[in-house]
Amino acid sequence: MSRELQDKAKELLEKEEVAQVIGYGAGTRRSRARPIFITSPEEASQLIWTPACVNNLAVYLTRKETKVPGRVAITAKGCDARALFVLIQEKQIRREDLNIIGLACRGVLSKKALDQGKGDLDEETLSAKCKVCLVHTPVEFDFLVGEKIDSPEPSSDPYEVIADLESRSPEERWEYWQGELSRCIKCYACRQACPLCYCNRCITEKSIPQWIEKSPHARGNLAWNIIRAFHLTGRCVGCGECERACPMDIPLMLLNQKMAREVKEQFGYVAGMNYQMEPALATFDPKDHEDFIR
Amino acid sequence: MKEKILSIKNRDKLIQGLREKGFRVYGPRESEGIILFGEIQSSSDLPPQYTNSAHSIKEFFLPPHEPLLSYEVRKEGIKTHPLDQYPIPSVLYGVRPCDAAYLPIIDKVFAWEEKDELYLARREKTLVICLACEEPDEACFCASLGYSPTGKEGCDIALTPLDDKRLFAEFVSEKGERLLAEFPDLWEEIRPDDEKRRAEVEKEARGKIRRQVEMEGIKKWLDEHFEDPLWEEISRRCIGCGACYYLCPTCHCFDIVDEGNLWRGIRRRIWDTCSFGHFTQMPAHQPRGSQDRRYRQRIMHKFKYYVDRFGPIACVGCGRCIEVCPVGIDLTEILAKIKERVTASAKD
Repeated sequence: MSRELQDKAKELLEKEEVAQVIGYGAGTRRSRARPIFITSPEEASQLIWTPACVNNLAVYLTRKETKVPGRVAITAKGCDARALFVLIQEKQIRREDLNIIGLACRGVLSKKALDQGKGDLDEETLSAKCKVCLVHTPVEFDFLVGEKIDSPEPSSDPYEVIADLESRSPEERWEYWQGELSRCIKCYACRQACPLCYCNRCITEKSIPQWIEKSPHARGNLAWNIIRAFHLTGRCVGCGECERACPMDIPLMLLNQKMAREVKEQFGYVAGMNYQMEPALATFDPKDHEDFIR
Repeated sequence: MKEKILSIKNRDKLIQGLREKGFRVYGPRESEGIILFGEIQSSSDLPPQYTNSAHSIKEFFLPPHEPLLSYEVRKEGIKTHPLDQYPIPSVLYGVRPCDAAYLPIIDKVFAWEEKDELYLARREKTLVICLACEEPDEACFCASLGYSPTGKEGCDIALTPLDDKRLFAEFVSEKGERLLAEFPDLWEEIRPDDEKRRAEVEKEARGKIRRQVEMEGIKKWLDEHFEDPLWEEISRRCIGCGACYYLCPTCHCFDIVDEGNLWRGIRRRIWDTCSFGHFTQMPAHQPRGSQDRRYRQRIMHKFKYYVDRFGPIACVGCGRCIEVCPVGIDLTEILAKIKERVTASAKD
């Protein structure tokens, strides 16, 4: 797999079709992978594609430090590509500037498996998000590494954990979230790892007035994590990077999944499946059946 | 230094005794797979095995947030009220030596020209009991910085397990020695072979550290390379979060915020980091406008500026930054890259 990817990257750079390839290289820790930026054909042999390639590299397309003039190739799993499509929809990047090297993906390793130094994919080491994946093959790509993998109906209910939480009383849910969010230290790894948190100035950095209290106390943490879930509503593609990046292991994806389910149920919209569609929460139709919006 | 034995049986009596004397005893506790320091009642609250806690013990001396004063905006003007804070006497049990070693380093900045009263009061009221690290993590590199998995720097009492029944206790500070007198029945005399066994445990633990960095020459290279292509190279994948800073024991930058409404509020001190894009943002200028400059600051502060001003390197090799980085940045790799340049220039 890695070979096929390396050859493609080399070819793109040799023909000067792209100025940079953003992909994965070996990390310094046991069986880890990490983002690398390839600009010359000779370096293409550093690229790898393994179940440890967990990062969503789309985050680098909007960072000024990693932007380069000209076309860029990016390796993207199905979930990563969904983030690319939202960035295109939101006019942050242009499809024609991108060469998407799709990765046919059977899933990536969970954070726990990586922490334990495991490198092989099995039921136990598979990341939870991959068990309910809709896009084992990116919806659109310029080149595909590996054979197309069909996405079967998820074997378990993607909203199982949310359903379980919802079955509890408001007091129990409050207690649950107070407990989980009490660990938040506001390092903003969730925001920085998220390809869709690309605001130049986050609402937490706006201090006149201070919308979100900056202290990581109960109120400040609640405000921060709720506002982030709100801002990602109808946009989050479920790549799980926020939760993976969180050094305090807060189950942030529960908030995002809850909102994703609302959007799906209310508007029949799933984010990042088609970049030609208008984003669910950014459209207006004069024939809208709701009165308040007209 | 006085040396005694604390049996595992007596350890519970010690924890109990300290609690009875009004100390709050904190130790590592496991919940949902994450190790965090929390209050403990007895040693049964401690995890059977752990490498280190997710947080360093920094949270006890420089908490993630702490109130400094409250204020009211009145017609007559602004009125402030001190929030008298009296730290509760505490004991931190089961601290790893790398974490304790951070204390004497960072004491220097908090006891510098302006004495940081809150930090110093907590330091005075807190007793640090270390437990030697027998199974260093893949990311650990304390020995490269002159520390040891059984080290004593910053500890009041340093414990090293000799076997599953006995702990070798070294009374490092006067504060630690007080426990000898306060609990005379709990400490047993060392036996002839105990010191030998302690040395063996240290040797075994050191042998398990997989990372080593040669520090010689690194400071000098930093002195001469404020501008260098290396900074961009090593920071390109950095996404600018604060995970490495917030979990680092020695990182100690903070921000002051006022939280409240138009009429009243509380002024708090919270953690902050040079990694954030707005950290040095000023109305007219941002001297660290890109991540390579911010990342350079992180390295320079630890391995050059702190050394210039206070002497010690502001890193204890706990490896947390390596463990938590979402994009796989590795401090030992960066130091090795600098070392390569040092070696290469020596050959020229």
